[in-house]
Amino acid sequence: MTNANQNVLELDNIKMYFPIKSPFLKRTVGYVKAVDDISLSIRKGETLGIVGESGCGKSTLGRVIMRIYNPTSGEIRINGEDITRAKGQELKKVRKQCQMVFQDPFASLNPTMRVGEIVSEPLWVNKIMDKKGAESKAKELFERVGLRESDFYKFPHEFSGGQKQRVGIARALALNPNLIIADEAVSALDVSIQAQILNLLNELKAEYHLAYMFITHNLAVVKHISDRIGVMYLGHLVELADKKEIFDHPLHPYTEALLSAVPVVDKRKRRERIILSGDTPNPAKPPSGCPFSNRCPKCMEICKTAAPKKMVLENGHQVACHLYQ
Amino acid sequence: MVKQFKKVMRSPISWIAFTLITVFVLCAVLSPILAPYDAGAQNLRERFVPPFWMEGGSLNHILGTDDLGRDILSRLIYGSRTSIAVGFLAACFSGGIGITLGLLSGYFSKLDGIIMRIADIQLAFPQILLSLSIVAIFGGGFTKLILVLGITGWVSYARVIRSEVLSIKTSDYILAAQTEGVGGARILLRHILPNIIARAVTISTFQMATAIITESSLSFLGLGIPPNVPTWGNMLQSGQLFVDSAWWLSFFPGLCIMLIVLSINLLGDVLRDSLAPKTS
Repeated sequence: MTNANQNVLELDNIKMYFPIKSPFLKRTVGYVKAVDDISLSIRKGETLGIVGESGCGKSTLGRVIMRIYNPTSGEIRINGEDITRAKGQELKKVRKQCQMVFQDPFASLNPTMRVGEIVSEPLWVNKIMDKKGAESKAKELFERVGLRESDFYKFPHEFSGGQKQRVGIARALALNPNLIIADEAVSALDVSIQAQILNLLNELKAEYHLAYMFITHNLAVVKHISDRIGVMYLGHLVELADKKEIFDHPLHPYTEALLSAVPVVDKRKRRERIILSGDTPNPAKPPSGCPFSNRCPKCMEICKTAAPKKMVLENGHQVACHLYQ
Repeated sequence: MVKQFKKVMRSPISWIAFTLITVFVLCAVLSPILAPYDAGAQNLRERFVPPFWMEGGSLNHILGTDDLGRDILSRLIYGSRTSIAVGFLAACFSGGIGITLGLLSGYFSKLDGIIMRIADIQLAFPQILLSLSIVAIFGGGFTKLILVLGITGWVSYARVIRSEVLSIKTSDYILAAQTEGVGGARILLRHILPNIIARAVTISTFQMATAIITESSLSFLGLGIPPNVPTWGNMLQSGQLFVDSAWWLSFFPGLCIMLIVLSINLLGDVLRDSLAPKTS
């Protein structure tokens, strides 16, 4: 596809299976396939939005990239370097290039630490600078993300949700990463604050030459911030294309259904609402064939038996669906 | 924290607990000044003098005298030294072991199995039996008693701390610290420990109370502190022989044990409420 050096992140056939253990003998009786065979790449300075409903594995994907979980198989490359099995010092080095902003600003800041310490800690722990230098760098970051210097010595509970998320962003920026994984970074915030944080993220992107992987279930957010969008369903990446392409010509029936759920003000532009029947299947017992087959309005015979392969159309639009094969 | 402490102290129960503990600590610190007599001073002509409000009692011995004519009040005041020292030191010692092992056990899953199995084995023995056998083998005395209480008390810390660590270590802020490259030791000491210290303090109050009771029980059985040192447990033991004729020999030390254990437990509740880390 693209030149390898231009990609901040490359994922090759990432699988993350969590074993299910039987209660007494702790034998593995099955697997939850949280992430099943996902390949994608993020270019420098690009924002990739990942959307999908709850439990589709999008957060797991983010955590696999951060190596919070070790993938069952597949390869993760950051700036061309394979980090799938990196350990110890090597892993520390890699993690500097890739940082995470968490969903819940309340849970992602240690209640017993002052926010200044939280933001400056990564700098001196990684021996980038001494404690004093880390402190002044952190104060700079505070100013950049829209916090006051007087906030530096406060505890997390003294802040509002939006401010806490700013602290979380400052912490992620501290190590000067190339890639920030934002896992539902604005979902816990009020809508007005969401916009502020999204704008801040957009400003920072240009300033710090960042690439984002923006994981969310909110299509409006994804439309606002992304360059490309990937749609996940039950651990699979069912569609991946440029933002405009996805919103104008969705190919996968699941994407169509998702988009039809977005309210549109203009009556003429309204799409017909596609209501999906049934629930998301249990990821421990996915349907055979296409994972979406049991809810798909366009399901064919073949969908129930064979899993669709990933197709790449000329304009780079990727889709995994039998309708196009 | 100070604000919350003040808020909790508004309730009368915490006031009573706090005052009682202050009184006991003052007694321990100032015993030579407060005690009207020397704790060991015998006066065989004044044996079994009852408390002052009873017939035959006098204000010279407010709470009466024992079988050797020693002043009960003075012995109680001196005895508070042993009880408080034993309780405090034993809680610190077992807390040191228990918190360390609990942190390690919760954070490093490889150690978890080993440490928790040892804890299970130890829990299979009643604490008093374990203390008894250790004292019987190695002998009594103040230092050894604290060691024994420390060794028998660590499990209750370790188990609670471990479960706290297990839930904290998957929280987002620990994941964030890990992805920033913060090392394991620093995560344990700087990120996790401050979040569980409130729990540890609460356990140590209960542990202190248990240690005081165990010390008294061991002394009562004659296996704790040597009988020439006044402790509440010793006093109970020597008084039990005369409980029919002179109830005050064993009643007052028993009362003291009850009051200090009760007030330490109440204080534990107060501390738990005021030390918990704020989340919102």
